[in-house]
Amino acid sequence: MTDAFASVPHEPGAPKPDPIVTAKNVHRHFGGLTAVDVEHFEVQRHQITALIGPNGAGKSTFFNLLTGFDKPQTGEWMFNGHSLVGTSPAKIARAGKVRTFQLTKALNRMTVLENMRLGAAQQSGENFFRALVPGTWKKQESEITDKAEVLLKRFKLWEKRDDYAGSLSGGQRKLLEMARALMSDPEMIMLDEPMAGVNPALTESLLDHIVELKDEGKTILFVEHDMHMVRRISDWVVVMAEGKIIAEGPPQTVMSNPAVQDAYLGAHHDTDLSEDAS
Amino acid sequence: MNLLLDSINELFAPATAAFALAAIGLNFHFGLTGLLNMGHAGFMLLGMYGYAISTSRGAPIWLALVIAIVVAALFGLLLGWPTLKLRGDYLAIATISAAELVRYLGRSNTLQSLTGGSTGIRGNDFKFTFEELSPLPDENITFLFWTRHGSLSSSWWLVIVAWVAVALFALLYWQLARSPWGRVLKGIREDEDAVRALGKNVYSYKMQALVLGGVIGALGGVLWALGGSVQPDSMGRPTTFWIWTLLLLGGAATVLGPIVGSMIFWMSLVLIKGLASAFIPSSVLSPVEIEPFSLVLVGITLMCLVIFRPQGILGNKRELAFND
Amino acid sequence: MTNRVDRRVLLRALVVLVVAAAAFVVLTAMGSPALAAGTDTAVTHAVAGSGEAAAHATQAGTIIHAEAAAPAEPGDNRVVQQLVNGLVFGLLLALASVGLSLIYGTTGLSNFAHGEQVSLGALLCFFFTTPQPVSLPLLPFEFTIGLPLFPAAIAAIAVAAGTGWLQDKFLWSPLRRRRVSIVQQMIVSIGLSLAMLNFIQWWFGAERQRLTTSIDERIDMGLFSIGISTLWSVAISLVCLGGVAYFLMRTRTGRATRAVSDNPALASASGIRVDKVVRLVWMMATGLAAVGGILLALYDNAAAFDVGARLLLLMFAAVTLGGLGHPFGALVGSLVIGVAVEMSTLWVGTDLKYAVALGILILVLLVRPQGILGRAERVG
Repeated sequence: MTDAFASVPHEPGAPKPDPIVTAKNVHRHFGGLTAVDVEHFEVQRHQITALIGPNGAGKSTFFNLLTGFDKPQTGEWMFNGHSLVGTSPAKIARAGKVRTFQLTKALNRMTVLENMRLGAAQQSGENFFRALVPGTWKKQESEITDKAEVLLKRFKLWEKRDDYAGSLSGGQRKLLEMARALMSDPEMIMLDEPMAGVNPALTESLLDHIVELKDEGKTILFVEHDMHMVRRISDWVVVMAEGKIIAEGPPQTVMSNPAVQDAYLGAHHDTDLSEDAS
Repeated sequence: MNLLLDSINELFAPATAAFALAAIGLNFHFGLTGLLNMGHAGFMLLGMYGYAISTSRGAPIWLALVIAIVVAALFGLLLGWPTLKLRGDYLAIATISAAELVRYLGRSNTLQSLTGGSTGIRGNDFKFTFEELSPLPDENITFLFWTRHGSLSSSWWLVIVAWVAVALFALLYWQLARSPWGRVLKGIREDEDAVRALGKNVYSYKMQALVLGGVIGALGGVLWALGGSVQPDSMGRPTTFWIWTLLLLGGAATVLGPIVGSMIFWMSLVLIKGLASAFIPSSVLSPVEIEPFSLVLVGITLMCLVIFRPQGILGNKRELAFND
Repeated sequence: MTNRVDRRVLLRALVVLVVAAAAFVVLTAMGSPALAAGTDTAVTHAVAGSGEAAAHATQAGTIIHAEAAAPAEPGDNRVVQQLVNGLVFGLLLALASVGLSLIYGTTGLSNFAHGEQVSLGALLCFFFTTPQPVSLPLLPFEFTIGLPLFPAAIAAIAVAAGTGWLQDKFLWSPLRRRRVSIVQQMIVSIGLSLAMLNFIQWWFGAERQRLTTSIDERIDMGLFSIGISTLWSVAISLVCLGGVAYFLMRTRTGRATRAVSDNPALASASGIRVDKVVRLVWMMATGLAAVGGILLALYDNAAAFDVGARLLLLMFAAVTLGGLGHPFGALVGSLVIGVAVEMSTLWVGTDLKYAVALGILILVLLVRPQGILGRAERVG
């Protein structure tokens, strides 16, 4: 168990010593169907938190709510002490909380390098009038390109820089999306099923990249089905079922929680909860 | 031989330039941003009205142009405001409806004194400010094989101004498309949500593209009007569809696509009509039937292009014009 | 959530409405000097089919009643008369819109060529029924068919439904199989509409063609009057729409159609042959469009090659208003649009009546893009 969580009780909605994200009474329903009903939720700064749960538990909806891509009926949530209620996804991203998507959104008909450049924040040439005068953004553009080069090399995509993103494999797209999100130096990265559709060869390097991000001082929250990954890298696990948070705790102990096993066995017989991390 | 000369004449005719310019505007919408603007003729018509009405009421040429631009920009803002948040096909239905709304209003009797109702505005009422600026002599001039008036109506003067305008806006497209601004638009074309997640205000960018493209379309309309007259029914849905056809023909998201597309489009129309009247006996295809016959071919061309070669003539095979 | 409209959306709609109204008033005021002269010409634009004269709004907003065409008209209650005309028009429009909606529901395609199916139906009927010699495009000889109206209509509907079958078999079904995107398909339908529109003009010329030379007898119903053949049209369209409703609600194939509309992947997984259903929907839609075209041609006394093209946007308005992909919504939407179009002639010129429908469409897109009956799913 990591020190940061030493004083945190293993119960749903437990308060954390240094929360970067706090959500209260978030409620979202579609018609009569409740998708998310979270009383209290906090994410500890500089740690890797996993959000897990059986299919249809409302993880993705909750994720969309936290990033502004969906709006709840009620509730409030904060990032770094600022309320994000009613804030657009773009503003949330600019505030330093960047997300990726379950179905990767690599921009297919743009090159890998252009994808990366688009991730940069505060390129003044993105203003229409400045775009007309290349002198005002050329210098910045080369700085951005340098930064992209570093990231692409780190994520082993540098050789692909001039290829269209649409030609990459599923795993490479995941890497590209993560690298692109890093272009704006976010404080917090939210990964929506980063392992979905990634071939086993790339899995390990993807995991290493995520741990590296934590070492650089970033906060990570991810949604995942893959228990292997959850055990291997997460510091804290939050379990959702039927829209509610039913358990929290470190990865080693949360799986033995009877409520978690009930939730999974009720909906998801084939998930192996007992196997140890390899 | 005459047919060949006629079709080459069509290559650089003012109408070809007008459509090329309008297509450059549509290229900002569709090629760069992926917006399905099916009401481009509405922007053109508003530009024509803005220019013609203000000129006929005594405005100098620069003011008339500013008014044409402002009217189109306002139309874009008003139209984009509610619809740019909706799914693409809603935008298509909304734009096509708004363009038709403009046309119905323009041709209605209610606004007759302003817009001239369904007969429109005669060329003589608004062309003079432009024609007075002509440095060319006031007579017919023959250049190689082609004769046009120096400064009146569909003149050499208009040819020069129109193509200079087309060149300038093609340059503008080239400059903007490779700028960071254009990169954001391309990102939006690929996936709005991804761009949103990277912290860009997608709505604002779509609006900028819609307004810019609409204004360019309006200027295309002004060029068209300067070569003829303002006639609301000439700016109906078929016009929008023609512009789409020629844009896709030349290649969306390319700099020269709209220009090449417009040239090929108009030249082929003249060629088809000429060849049809020369070689198909009139008992099979009477002279009045040639026009619809050639437009049937336009429709079929559009279908085949979209199905078999969506990147057009100049487009990059991998940078297809459509999302998967 | 289904009934709650976002306040911001409402506000947006309100502002657009106010701006549009202000623009209209300003333009009208600027155009007013000609209005005095313009009224005479405007009045001669008779309301299609009813023989009613048009009333015009002046800049002050007062209504001038111009009783020009039919002084013998017993029902002088114009409001009721226009309401009835609107309901009739809406019912006929519904025949076409329901097909458009069914196609959208099962395939996701906004078919821009649907208007041409309406024109095709009307002019095919003319082709089979006219006593004058007719010809086929590219064939240099003429012949006379001259069937009575009823069998001619049946033949026209059959041929029109055949075009639906052909289209799906050789165009849309291969496109779906190649997984051509829906936007691409939409532009293909635009190309098709351009080709069909001009093909029909090439075939039948630009003139308005009359399906029948007999003059419709009008019955006085007290508050309004209605033609006998119009009553027949209403009856026929009610039967057709009832038939569609029965098909969708009570038959096996109809339920399969609704299942495909709801979720094609699920329907396919549960053993429904989606392609068969879609082909049937195409035939139904084009057939219904032809019925609508023929009845509208009778109602309007004549039809030209562009009759459907003019109606296309009204159909889209109706379908959007009712909720894209909901056949019953399309019916309700058509009635609303029909009534709005005809009633609007009480206040604005007849040449603006279609503009009113388009205004409504844009307004609906502002406030409730999912339509009256549509689910409040994300459309943006």
